[in-house]
Amino acid sequence: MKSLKRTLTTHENMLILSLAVFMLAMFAMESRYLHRDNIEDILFSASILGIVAMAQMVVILSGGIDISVGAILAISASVIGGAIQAGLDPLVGIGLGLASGMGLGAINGGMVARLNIPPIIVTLATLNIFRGIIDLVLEGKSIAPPNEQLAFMTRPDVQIIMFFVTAAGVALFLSSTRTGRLIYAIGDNPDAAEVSGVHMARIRMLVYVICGFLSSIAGLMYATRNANINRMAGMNYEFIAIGAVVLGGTNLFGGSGKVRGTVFGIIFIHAIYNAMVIAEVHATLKDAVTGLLIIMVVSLGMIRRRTPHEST
Amino acid sequence: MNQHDLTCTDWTSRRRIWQRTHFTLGGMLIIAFIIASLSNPYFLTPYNLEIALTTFFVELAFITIAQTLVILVRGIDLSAGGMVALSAVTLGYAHTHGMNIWLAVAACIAVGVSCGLINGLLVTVFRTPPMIATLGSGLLYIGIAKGVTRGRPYTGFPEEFQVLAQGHLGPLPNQLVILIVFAAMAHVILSHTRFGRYIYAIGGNPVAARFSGIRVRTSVISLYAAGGLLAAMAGIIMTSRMMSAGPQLAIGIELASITAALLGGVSIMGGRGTIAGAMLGMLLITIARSGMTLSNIQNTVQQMTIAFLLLSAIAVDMMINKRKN
Repeated sequence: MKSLKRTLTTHENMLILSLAVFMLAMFAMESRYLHRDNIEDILFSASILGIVAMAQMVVILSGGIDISVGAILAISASVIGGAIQAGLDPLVGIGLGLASGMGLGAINGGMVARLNIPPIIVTLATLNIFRGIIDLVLEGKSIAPPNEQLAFMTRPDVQIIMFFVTAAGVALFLSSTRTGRLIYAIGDNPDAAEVSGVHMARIRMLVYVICGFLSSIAGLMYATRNANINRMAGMNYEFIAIGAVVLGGTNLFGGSGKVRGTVFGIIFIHAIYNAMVIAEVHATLKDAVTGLLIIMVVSLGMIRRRTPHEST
Repeated sequence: MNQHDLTCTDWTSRRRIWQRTHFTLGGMLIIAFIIASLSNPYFLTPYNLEIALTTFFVELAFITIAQTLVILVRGIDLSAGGMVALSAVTLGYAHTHGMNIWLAVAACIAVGVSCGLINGLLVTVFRTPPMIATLGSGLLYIGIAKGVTRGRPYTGFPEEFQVLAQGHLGPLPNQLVILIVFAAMAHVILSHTRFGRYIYAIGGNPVAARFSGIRVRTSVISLYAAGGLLAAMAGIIMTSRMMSAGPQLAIGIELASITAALLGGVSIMGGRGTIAGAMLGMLLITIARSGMTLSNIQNTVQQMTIAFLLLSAIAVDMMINKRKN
């Protein structure tokens, strides 16, 4: 256990170190890169996906996966935008949005925890179902964002602060509460956790509700900062989020990983996107770079770690 | 995923599960078929059936075969859409840069197989979990395809290239014939060769398979490479049907193919499932979609319905399994 912990710490530290090296190298080539505005730009663009990545991380820690996070984000963003547009109090609108996120998470959790369907299948199906609901409700139209009612939230610094506060909250929850430790426990060794009296179904359910809740916070941020909320909201976010979680050193099979790693993982990805803009690399290559990064980091990490999970 | 995989390894119970899933699926198929033909008079016309089979079924069926092969060894392929896109774009690139169309087809197949090989190497030699490996490589492939085309699809393919997806062999459309050949090959390999037995053994218990002398790595790599070949075939046929090749053509095909395979009784835990079952799953999806299209039900609602189908099929399967254990 101790050696595992040690390698994990080095993974995160190595990530931070390579991020620093990368940023310094970019700075050497282009002095604008480390300017305050540009740093703010990187953090601002990373903040929504950062929260989605944390939502994903909580589920992955417990040994599950949730590929419906982007769809949950889209639904809660539409609920918030729609409710405020309909004249409800902004706070009520936000409350409804967060509640819808938790509700959708509970649907996922219920099927995983009660019916024992593998999480990848459940969330693959609910991804399609949630996206279908959005299309049925929006009918190709888009919702105006609640910019006037929530003006303070459109500011980049406020969104960045929301990102870091959420990260701190999740970190505290995972490391210092009983439930947080149980999430690691059921991910690390479900059989052992079950025989030591952990209520598996309850924790599993809770994990997906938390995931839905965090995704809807990201939905709130999405709603306030885009020109409109349409059916494309949050499309493919799940892939980048999983990438950031893995980049941050979380074990994909559950049981270990730190919020710090995920935060720096998503910042790293956006630091690279930002560098691509500065270096005038064509934007169509964004996906290719992300994919290459995920492959490299994961395969190098796997060779180094030699986990017992030799599926093949 | 780990408590479950070792439970259904003995042959008798496995065979019973196959038969049951095929039975349930067959029932669902017949019901869907009856509903579709009753609710719309055009459903049962030869024209509509051909449209349904050629525009939607064939390309997805290639990917479903590929998906079935890798799921059988506890893998998954989220890069299928990327491989289809990259191989189709290779075809377009090679052709617009003056290569003979059939040489371009060969280049396209070579690129598809190499993509599959890369997936296989990542999963075996680099020990990356299949979902993450193919997630990353899929982004890479589709990213390269987008980078090469800069978002504009290739067009201007020669007339003779249409033969693959717009010609007929007797009453059957050509691409259906090609599909049947590939599906039959996959079926024969899985159920009548030693290699096929090995595939089920690896899926049932990889560690035991390795200790009994099966070359697990080589087998898994070759299955992923076969996946790349099938993706390239889908890319070629899609290009021939639309006479255009772009990166956006196959988005979402991996999710649809996983759904089809699982509906067809392929176990996500590996080791169980047949090509015939997966094709039945495909057929169910095709009938459902064609029927819904005729009734003017929009695309996303169709996907919702299929997702519900998938969930209910799996939930019933899980509950029956639970009761038996």
